[in-house]
Amino acid sequence: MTSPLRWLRAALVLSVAPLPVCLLAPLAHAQGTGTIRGTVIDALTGRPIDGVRVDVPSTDLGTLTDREGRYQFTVRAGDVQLRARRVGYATATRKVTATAGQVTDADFQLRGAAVGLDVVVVTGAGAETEKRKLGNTIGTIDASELRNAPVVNVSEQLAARDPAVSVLPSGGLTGEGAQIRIRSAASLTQTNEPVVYVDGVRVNRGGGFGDANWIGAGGGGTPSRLDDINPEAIDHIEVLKGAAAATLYGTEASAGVIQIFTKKGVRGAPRWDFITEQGFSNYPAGRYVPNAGWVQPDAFDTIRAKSLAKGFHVPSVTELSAFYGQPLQPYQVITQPFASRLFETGYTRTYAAGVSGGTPGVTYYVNGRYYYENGPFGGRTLGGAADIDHKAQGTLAVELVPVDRVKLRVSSEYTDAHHETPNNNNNIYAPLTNAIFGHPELASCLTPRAASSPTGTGNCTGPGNPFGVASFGTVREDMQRTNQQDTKHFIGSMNAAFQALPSLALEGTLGVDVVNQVSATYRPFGNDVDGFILVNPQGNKTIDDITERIVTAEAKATWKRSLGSDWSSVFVAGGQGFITRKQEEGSAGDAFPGPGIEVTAAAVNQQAFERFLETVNAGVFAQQQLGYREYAFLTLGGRYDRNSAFGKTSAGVFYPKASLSVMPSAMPGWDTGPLTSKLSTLRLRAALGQSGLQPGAFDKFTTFSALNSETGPGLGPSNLGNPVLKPEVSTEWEVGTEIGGFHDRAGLDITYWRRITRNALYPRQYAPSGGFINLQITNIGEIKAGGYDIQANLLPLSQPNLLVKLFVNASWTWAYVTRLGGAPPLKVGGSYPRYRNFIKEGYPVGALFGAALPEPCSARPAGATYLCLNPGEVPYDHGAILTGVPDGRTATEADLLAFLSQPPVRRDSKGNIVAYGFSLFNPLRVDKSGTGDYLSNYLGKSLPDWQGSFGVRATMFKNLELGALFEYKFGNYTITNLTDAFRKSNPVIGRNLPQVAQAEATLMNPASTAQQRLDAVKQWSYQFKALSPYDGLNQNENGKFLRFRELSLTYNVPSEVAARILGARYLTITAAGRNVALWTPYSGVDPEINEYGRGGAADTRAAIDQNFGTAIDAFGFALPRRFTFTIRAGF
Amino acid sequence: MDISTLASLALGWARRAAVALGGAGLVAAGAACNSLFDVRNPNDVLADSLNNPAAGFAIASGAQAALAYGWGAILTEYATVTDELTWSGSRDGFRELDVGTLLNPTNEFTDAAFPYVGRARWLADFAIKKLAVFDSAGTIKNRNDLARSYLYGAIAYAMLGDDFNNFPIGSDMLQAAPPLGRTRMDSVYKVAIAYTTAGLGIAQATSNSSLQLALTAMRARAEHAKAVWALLHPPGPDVPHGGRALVNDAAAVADARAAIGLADAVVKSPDWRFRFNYSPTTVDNYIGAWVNGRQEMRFGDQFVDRAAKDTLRDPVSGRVDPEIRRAVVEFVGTSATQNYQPLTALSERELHLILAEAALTRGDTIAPADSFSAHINYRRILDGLALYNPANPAHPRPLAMLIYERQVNLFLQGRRLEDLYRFGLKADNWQSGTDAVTTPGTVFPITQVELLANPYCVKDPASCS
Repeated sequence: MTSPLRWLRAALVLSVAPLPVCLLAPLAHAQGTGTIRGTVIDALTGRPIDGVRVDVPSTDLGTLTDREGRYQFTVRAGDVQLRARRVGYATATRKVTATAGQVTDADFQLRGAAVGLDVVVVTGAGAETEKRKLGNTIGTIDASELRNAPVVNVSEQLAARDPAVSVLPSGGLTGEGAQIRIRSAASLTQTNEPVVYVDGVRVNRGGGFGDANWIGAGGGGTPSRLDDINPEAIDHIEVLKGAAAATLYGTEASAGVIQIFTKKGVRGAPRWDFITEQGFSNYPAGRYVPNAGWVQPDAFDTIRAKSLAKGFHVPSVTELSAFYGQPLQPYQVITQPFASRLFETGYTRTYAAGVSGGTPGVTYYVNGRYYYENGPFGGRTLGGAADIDHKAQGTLAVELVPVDRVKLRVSSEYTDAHHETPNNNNNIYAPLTNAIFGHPELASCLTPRAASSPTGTGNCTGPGNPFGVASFGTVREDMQRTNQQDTKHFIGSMNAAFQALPSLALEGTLGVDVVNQVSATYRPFGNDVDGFILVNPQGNKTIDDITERIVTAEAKATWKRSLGSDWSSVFVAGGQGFITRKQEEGSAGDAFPGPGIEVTAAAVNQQAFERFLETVNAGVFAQQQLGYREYAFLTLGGRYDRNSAFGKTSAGVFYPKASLSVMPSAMPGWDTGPLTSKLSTLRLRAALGQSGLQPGAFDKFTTFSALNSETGPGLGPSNLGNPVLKPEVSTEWEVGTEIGGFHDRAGLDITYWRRITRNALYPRQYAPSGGFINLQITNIGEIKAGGYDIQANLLPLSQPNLLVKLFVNASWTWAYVTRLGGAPPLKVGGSYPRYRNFIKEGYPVGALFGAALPEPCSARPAGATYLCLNPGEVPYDHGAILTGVPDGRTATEADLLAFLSQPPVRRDSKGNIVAYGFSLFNPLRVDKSGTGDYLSNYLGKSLPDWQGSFGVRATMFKNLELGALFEYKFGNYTITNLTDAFRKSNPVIGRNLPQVAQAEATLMNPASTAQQRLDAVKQWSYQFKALSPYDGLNQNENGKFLRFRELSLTYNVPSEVAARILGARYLTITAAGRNVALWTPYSGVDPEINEYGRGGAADTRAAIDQNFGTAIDAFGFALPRRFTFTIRAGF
Repeated sequence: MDISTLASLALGWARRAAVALGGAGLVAAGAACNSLFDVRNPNDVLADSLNNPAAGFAIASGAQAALAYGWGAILTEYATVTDELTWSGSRDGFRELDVGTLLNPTNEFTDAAFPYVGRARWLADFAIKKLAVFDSAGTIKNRNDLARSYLYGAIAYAMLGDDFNNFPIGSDMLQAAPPLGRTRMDSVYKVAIAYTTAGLGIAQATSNSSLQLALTAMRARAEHAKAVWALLHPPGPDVPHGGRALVNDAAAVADARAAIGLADAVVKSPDWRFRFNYSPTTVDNYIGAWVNGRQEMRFGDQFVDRAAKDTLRDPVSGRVDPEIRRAVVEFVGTSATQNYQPLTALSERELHLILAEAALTRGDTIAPADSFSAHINYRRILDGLALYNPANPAHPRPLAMLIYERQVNLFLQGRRLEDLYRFGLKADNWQSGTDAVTTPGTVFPITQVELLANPYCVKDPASCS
């Protein structure tokens, strides 16, 4: 394993190396120059604006304003054209004359604008280019705009900012990473996470705990490496939304590109910024419906005990009454809240400090941040499982101009992170999961191997099963299991820019991203504290250690020139390559000899694995942009790429692109026309391009892997191989427009896009009888997708004491699997039948299938022959209900009423009860497809048609800022509520929702009438019955929601007051809340949680689960509300 | 724009294009440096490497591991259908099996086990084919590797016959084969018998007595199973059919006698068993995690009576049967071994039961030599149980005794379901109307994973039923 420290040392050397040059650099800038300085303020409020780029067009001269809106930089003496621009404001220009050796003042007042086409972007554009010159859209997120927002990491910075970017928070465990999708799914089998760059260097976009087959907590609580990046050090983020924009990134880019730009130093004296943030968080415990059960007569004890684990004690009514300290009666429904026992108030704190400054020759920016959160998962008295996340982050950026025309930049970022999470989600050894399985009527202080006494208040004096968990282990035993991850993440880059000629610029970037991620799951010796659990009572530990290094090298030349008075040309050519090297090692040990031992080497059963992977991706690119005046730009380009996944003999792949941008509003006379003057901005654009995704490093080859036997080392089939494997290619086109009205106080940005992914890599399952059981990647798929990205900004009120900005984002998206080359459909979750998300030809990606009950015959389409119900019929087989032997006749309500004249029980020949209650009722299913597969009925899709956000930012009385952000999803959006499918249906660990317990109690109560029982049975079939062999039935729900995502209120202490009190340049105080409120018809705990979380998608199967296993609620944690109080001060 | 400007533009374009192409060409040439893309793959072995005779041992051992894992994988579902295991957990797929529903091709557990069975069959055939080539070429390192590959193949094929109604035999990597057909599944036993015969020839040549014993016992076992299959699948419209009890197969009897002779005289192991042994460094037994760890199933009441907290009692002595107790204790193991306990595939006890059954069909219940009771009592002596005497009216009748002894001595060995069927018994959790009740003799279907991937099944679903 390569030590990350080695890389850290190398990076430090690289970082320090330029310092001698830095020291000498100012000498090169002393002659014939003058200083320009000034302040940039909001024209309406008069408040200073930070982050404004003030520069000299067509040169590298310029700087950013600080928190007080101040800027200063050096120019050659003479007349200078200055430009000031910033997202959200109209660009302003002015001329000044710089005098050698003197300071010239030049202040700006900027007016808010809802259209921002002058924003300069880099990503995917080849060279720095204003947005208006590009035919494709690029999203820009200005980090300073989020300064007051309640965000603690990059994922939250990205969430709900751009209509095309969907950030799926996965779940509510502390430090849980989010999945990020740009314009839905471009690939079936390769990760749909966009590639991520920081200052031009490809960085790790992984997540999870390592090899999912080796280690994991259950899907949730998995961190994202993206969140290692210090959010305080981010200046802005650019988002390429698909193949048309990402062509120059070639293979691997079709899921989009995110490029993060870190802050640069600002010339001048050192300026310090300090942040302290304190906050608390809690789960919406009220969304967890209490456990319920009906008190069973002692006569049912035997049959109930028979269905449970060995030695499980089913308490009698008398015991149960003593346990709860209240007299209970048979058939009485009792409820117990469980969430409150496991939840607490979480606590979060953040401290950050930064300093920036420099001279004309060198600038620097240094930032350190410490973030700590102990989340709202509690249960500390039960065991050691915890939800903790803390990160220490450091950022250093040095930029120097040693000689004219040369600029060097060295930046580095280091994060040391520690993360803990409890077992969770669809994991039968997870505390919340087992608490959700609790049966109040089974609560007891007597377990198969331990006992204590009841306190009379629903607890035990010692070992016991107070939650009434019916299987697997007690909640306290699950709390003994911990999952931890320690990560060291370094990103370093060196960038050199050389203006060789006035028209020719050369630039090179060399960088490295190194992650060392050590994950461990641990169960101590003797974790069977309640004498119940049988898995690893002597403890176990599993470790996964990944070191992954990505080296990025890029060199390019940009040739800008004018072609006469009307035409301009920008030509960019270069090369870019990545070498990714991943080493993963793991060890596991079961059964420790005694308490206190926590190393795998001490265990009886020891296992180890090691994996090594190296991939190389390299390509060359060229792009020509031709401009006609300032209103028409044509861009043509392409990239030729090669990837080691296809072997050294493979041919490369060429990805072309073309785009056109026309801005009629820039034409002369536009603003004087009677019609056109109504539109202050109008731009029309179109783009077409390709990019790709390559398969796994060795998917091409037929391989055998170790399959050792008792006799000795053995080999078994592994990868079937595919010698003609090639990358899948996404072709995307988009057309769009930006329209500004009312002097750009209203802006509308609409893009329509279509994408087709050809030769989509699909994991084909060849007949397993042929020996190779693993899926084989094959270029047989095709996905078509499309949609609208809509963004509207409005500045309805612009008064000195009230400035209001409204924004609305909306994305309408569809994506279909149009071809699978005859391969069978693929299900998320492998053979696990309860996840019904499929990749199936002719259906939306992530389509849901499953069982369905017969409908009234009146609702059956003409010509259909599948089973339906005539009036008075019920969805049960007549014979199965009355005699236990199906006779093919549909039962009627009269049949059921007769059968239900008594509580339904089945007895054996000796008269013993062998079954009772809902377990006797198995409704009839329909096979609408006529294939014989009762689980093939289409039940909806797991991705919404519409999603987006809206909100407001307001400045009141100059110093008070309000921010609010709402996020929504709706339209054919179906969530798999697996949690409640269990809680409604499963006879062992479910049927514990209050309405289900009540219905079954009614069914079994001798005092009930036959009609009441019939109603209960109808409820059972149409609302409760679920799980195998009815997978999909009664488990899907409308997942639409509106969430009050962010709320912030900031007071900017007047600068004179801040200076007087603290001697500070500025002082702000912010109170903010995240996930403040939720409106949804969804009955589960949260429509945004997702079983698979932010896993690493380490292999094809895992990638499929990550890509399409969305909207599965399986015992997850609801998103917590988080409230923070933040003070920012500058000195 | 005038012509000269256009020309200038065109020339400029041409110039830039040439520069771009030249530059791109240079960079491409650099990028084309093949060594850059020649990355290492030390994790797996390329298929071509298996043409090296030195790989023979690893190929045979891989076949062994694949078979061991496949054996445990399908045994989990098989034992759940029988009364050996009873569902007690959360996974309703197991419940479905427990009540007697076998024919659901989407059952997650049979569907999950199917590929491992397929892999076991294929890898055994692959090993035989590869090693036979080495053998023919005289390059094989150890001929016993080929002999044991034949043994693994025989066990794999018999497993298909015991556990599946239909199966595609002959699929090879990308090429799927059509299913054999429900009425032709006895041919898998013929393959098993042929494999044991071929293996025996080699084992005899190499004087490997252990392999000779295992191969002979396996041949007896395959011949007996083939006869049982024929009982349960008589020609006609009522296929399959249960309730036809006993078999007497001459070849099975001869091989059982021969194997017993080898066990007693050559290997000198009076309680010989051929078992799959599991460990953390090889493969686990699949079934232990579900039963011992996750507790999805527990032992059936017929074997471990929960109410009495005791194991099955010997009908002759009334004692707790030591073999069941041993088997249960062994299977449960400790928390450290619960996933790795051995599973028995062949045993001398079964050989005696084959002979006892044959004797019973001849009506020979009391003759002293080679009699029903002699073979029944063989293991009773081993286990210290009172001898069975069919003449004693207090003792069970011979058929009941045979059923009992098979129940005990073949516990968790994948024989119970066929025994339930042919002796007209029902597992206590079978529900009326389920497959096991309505179509006795039925075992597992080709499951969804194969049905969707095998083009013959896609084209003609009925052929894969």
